[in-house]
Parts: sequence; C-alpha cells; structure tokens
Amino acid sequence: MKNKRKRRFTKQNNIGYLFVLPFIIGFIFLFMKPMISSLIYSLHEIKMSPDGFDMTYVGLENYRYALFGDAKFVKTLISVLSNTIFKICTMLFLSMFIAILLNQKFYGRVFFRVILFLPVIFSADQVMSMFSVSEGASQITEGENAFVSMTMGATGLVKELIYSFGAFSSVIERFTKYASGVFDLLWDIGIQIILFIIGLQAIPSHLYEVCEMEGATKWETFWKITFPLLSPTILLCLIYSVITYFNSSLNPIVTMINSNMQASIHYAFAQTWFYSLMTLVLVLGIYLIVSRKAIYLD
Amino acid sequence: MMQTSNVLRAKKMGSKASATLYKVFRLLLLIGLSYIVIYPILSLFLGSITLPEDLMDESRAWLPKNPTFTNYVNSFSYFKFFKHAGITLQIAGISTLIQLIVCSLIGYGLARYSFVGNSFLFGCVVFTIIMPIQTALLPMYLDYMQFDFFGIGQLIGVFTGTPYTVNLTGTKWVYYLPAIFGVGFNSGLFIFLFRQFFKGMPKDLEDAGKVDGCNPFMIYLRIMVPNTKPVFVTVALLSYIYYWNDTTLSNIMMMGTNDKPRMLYVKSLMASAVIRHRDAIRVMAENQAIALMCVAPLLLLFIIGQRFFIESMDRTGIKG
Repeated sequence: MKNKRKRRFTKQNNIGYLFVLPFIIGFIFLFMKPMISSLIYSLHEIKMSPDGFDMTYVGLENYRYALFGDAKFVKTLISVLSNTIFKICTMLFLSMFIAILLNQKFYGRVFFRVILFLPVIFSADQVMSMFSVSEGASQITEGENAFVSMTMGATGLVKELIYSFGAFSSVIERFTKYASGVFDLLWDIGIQIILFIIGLQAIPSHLYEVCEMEGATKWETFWKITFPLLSPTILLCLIYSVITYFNSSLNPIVTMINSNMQASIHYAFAQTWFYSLMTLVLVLGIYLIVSRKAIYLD
Repeated sequence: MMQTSNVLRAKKMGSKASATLYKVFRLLLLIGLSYIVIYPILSLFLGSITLPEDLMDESRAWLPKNPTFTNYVNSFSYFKFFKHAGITLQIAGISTLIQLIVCSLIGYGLARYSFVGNSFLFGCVVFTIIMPIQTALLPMYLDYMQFDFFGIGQLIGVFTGTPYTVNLTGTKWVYYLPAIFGVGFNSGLFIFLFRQFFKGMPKDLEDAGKVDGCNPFMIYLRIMVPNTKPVFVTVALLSYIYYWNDTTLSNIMMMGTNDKPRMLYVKSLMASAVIRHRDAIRVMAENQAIALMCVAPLLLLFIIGQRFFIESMDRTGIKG
C-alpha cells in the first residue's frame, strides 16, 4: 500500500518535467552551447586573420593575467565589491521603505507610484546619455558621467537655496553628497519597489486585524507580521539588486570588459567568466543564507 | 470618571495631531523623492523644446526663452519614427507574450513539482540570470548564422551529405526563439519571479482543484494564473520594456538589416547625426528630441496600462 502510494507520488511529480521541458532544451542548446564556446575561447589566444579566427591554446594564461598581471582589473573588482555591500543594503532599505509608504491608503498614491516607476521606462542607455546633455554639459557624456551631471543638476538647485540662507558649506557638501546617493539609488529601485508592493499585498489582512485586536502597536506589528512575511520578497529583491548592479552597463567592471571585447576578445571572455563565477558564488551564498530564514505562508 | 474621559480625549487629540503630522511628513517625503525622479526627465523635455542657439545660454535656468518644436520637426526629416516603432512594437509584443506563457509554466513546474533535479534546474535558472549576455554574444551569432535546429540539421546532414542549416541573423527569430525556450531576455529573472510567487500560494487551493478533478495544466490555468495576476502584469511590463530598450542583443544580431529595432536604429542614428549636420549643438538638441520620442510610445503605453498595472498590485487574490 505504502509502496504504491509512493510510486504514484513520484509519477505525479514527473509531470513537472513537462512544464520545464522548454527550459531544459533552451538551456542546453541556446544558452550553454554559446557559453561553453566562450569558455573555450577564453582558454585560447585569438588573432584575427584574413580567413577567420586564428586560435592557439594557452590554458589558463588569460585568467592568470587578469588576476596577477592586470592591476586595473583586480583594483576595480575590489572597489565594485566594497561598493556593492553598502549600495545593496541602502537599496533594499529604501525600496522597502518607499513600498510601505506607497502601500498605505492616501490621496494621490497612484500618482506617486507612477512617478517612482518612471526610471524603469527611461532606463535605456540612449536616453540616459541624453540627460547629461540637457544639463548643458559641453559634450555627450556616457555612463557614470551622465549620472554625475544629472545629480549635480538635481541637487544644484537645492544647494543654491541653502547657500542663500547662509548655512555652513561643509554641512551642505555632506548633505548634497547624500542627496546624490539617494538620486542614483532612486533610479535603480523602481522594480524593487513594485516587487515589495506585491509582496506587501500578499500578506493576509486578517493577521493585521488580530494584531489590532490584541493591542499591538504599529512598530510591533511591523516586526512581528510584516517583516517576517516579507522575507521571501526581501530575498528576491536582494538577489535581483545584486545581479542588476553587477551586470549593469554603468558598472565599471562591465565597461572595462566591454572595451576589452574590441581589443582582445579572449581576455574579455576570461574576465567575464571570472567575474560571473564570482557573482554566482556570491548570489548562491546569499540565497543559501537568507532562504533558510525566509518564512513562507503554508 | 470625568478625569478619565478627559485623559482619553487628550490622548485621542494627541494621536490625531501626530497622525496629521505623520501625513504631512509622508507627503513631503514623497514629493521630495518624486522631485528627484522628475527633475532630469523634465529638464530633458525642456531642453528638447529649446532652440539649439539657446541651449548653451548660461542665463537659461529652467524655462526656454522661446519654446519651439523645431528640434522635433527637424529630426523628423531623417528620423523614421513610425517604421522602426512598428518593428519594435512587433518584436517586443510577441516576445513578451511568449515569455509570459513560457516563463510562468516553467516557474510553476519548478515551484510545485519536486521531481529529481528540480533544485539543479533552479540553479541553472539562476545561472542564466547571472551570466551577462555579452559573454555569449559572439558564439551565439555564429550559432544563429548556421542554425541547425538543435542538432537535427546535423543529423539530416549525415544522410544527405550536407547539414541542413538556416541563417537566422537579421530575422526576428533571434528574439522569439530564445523566448520560446525560456532563455530570452531576462527570462531567468521572470522564471525566478514566477517560482517565488507560485511557491507563496497556499497548497489548499491546488488540493481543492485536484479534488474537483482538474489535471495539472488546468490547475495552473484555472487556479494559479487568476490568483497571481499582479506578477503577470509586472512581468509583461518589464519584459516589454526590456525588449523595447535593448541594444546589446540587437547590436550584433540586427546590425546588417534595414529593419532595425528602434533603440538600435537610434543608436546608429545618433552616431551618424554628427556627420550629417557638422553642428554639434544642433545635433545635441535634436538628439534630445529623438531620445524623448523613443520612450514616448513606452510612456504612453504605461500611462494607458497604468491603471491596470497599479490596481492589479492591490488585487492580489489570496487574502487569508
């Protein structure tokens, strides 16, 4: 009897293969095949010759060069990594905070939701690079520079205002620095805010009613109900933020790799592979640690 | 008795005052945040309706002295707005539809069936999110140039002598095909999203469906999909935006054709415009207009769909 039940159970689970079959095919043929080719390229030295590629096997030489020969790569890598921790934490906190605000019922919240989602629509590089132009910058700047001048513009007005009141300049400098930080972040967290709002909506309302009945304060309700039940969303946003930050075209490492793609393609492949494997380890680490703490309603 | 009621009233008034204070604070905060988001967009728009001559004028603080649409009119002479908008509309629309169906099915399979290798496959999904697409672009291009239908073409070659291959580069299949097999633009992320939300759904619902005699696909269609609408709407919107704004994939796959998707077309247009006018400031002014026209359809779509999108977030099915 027990055996029979068990077999039926596994048979039912095998239906799952049907659902994921497209992904298995796509993963092997459309994703892994080119990826493995690029891994193979990264182990070679490629020279362009009149009749196509000229490949010579060099083993791990490209990787060795990236880690020990190219001082710039390691330096950028370390600065990116140290930025990540600070940036991701603030991103998560800010997006959760804004989502909680936008989830409350008040007049005009649809308007604010629309506004705070706008950066996602304007996220194309071509449009982003234009922002700096509208600031009256003398040339078309790209990537990080566009951000800097955008920030200067947004905070410049506020700065002038405060200067006119005659406050201490060092205080203002610090203030504008933080304001610029918020600016950059706001343009990156549109999706996280949406994810958090969806997550907040999924929390059953009867739990809040119980809390109110028991006389819990808002603060207690947040830590006892909202935060624990939001933990799967926090995990999702955490991983999403890490990945988008690591792969964003504004990331100095990605810019570096992209510029290497033209010069020496095998070296660029080696860099991407090293960088991506590092990201993979980081994300899996986060997933394993946080998912153990995540609470699912079941 | 009197005293306690007074205390109560005072407490009530105090809480009312603090609630008002909180409301004002919240409003101010949100206005401040919105200002940060709106500022560059607004200044881009204002820049685009400024005369090129006035663009470098230091005295121009905010509003243009003489607002005109000259930049738009001028750029229209070489900027084929409708042709490339149509192409992108088609690519983004069809790819999004495919992604919605495929990614949700895969996500459902991963969330609800504990078959052998489930967690390994999930690891593969995460892997597809993490690996930047640039890594595989060149080999991918070579693959699509001689696409052999997952080795079937090679197999035919064994019998007929020449392997049967098709050149897919420059066609829209470079977008649709990966989407069908769940490895399209950001597919991994969407699978992850769907899996996460399907996992959060109560199992009782499915059991009810099973008792009523639904087959697994029916459970997905009739129970899971209606209850996770916000995720579907979010994924649709994101997928559409990603396809609309993509230049990385298009850059290598579609460069040779005339039917370039919008963003790629604009990218090459912006590069060539400098040569066309030889007047950097005028090019700059017109590029602003072009950049705005690029996102305008997307913005329009968002404003139309906004109601459904924002509301759907409030209508998550399961509430206890």
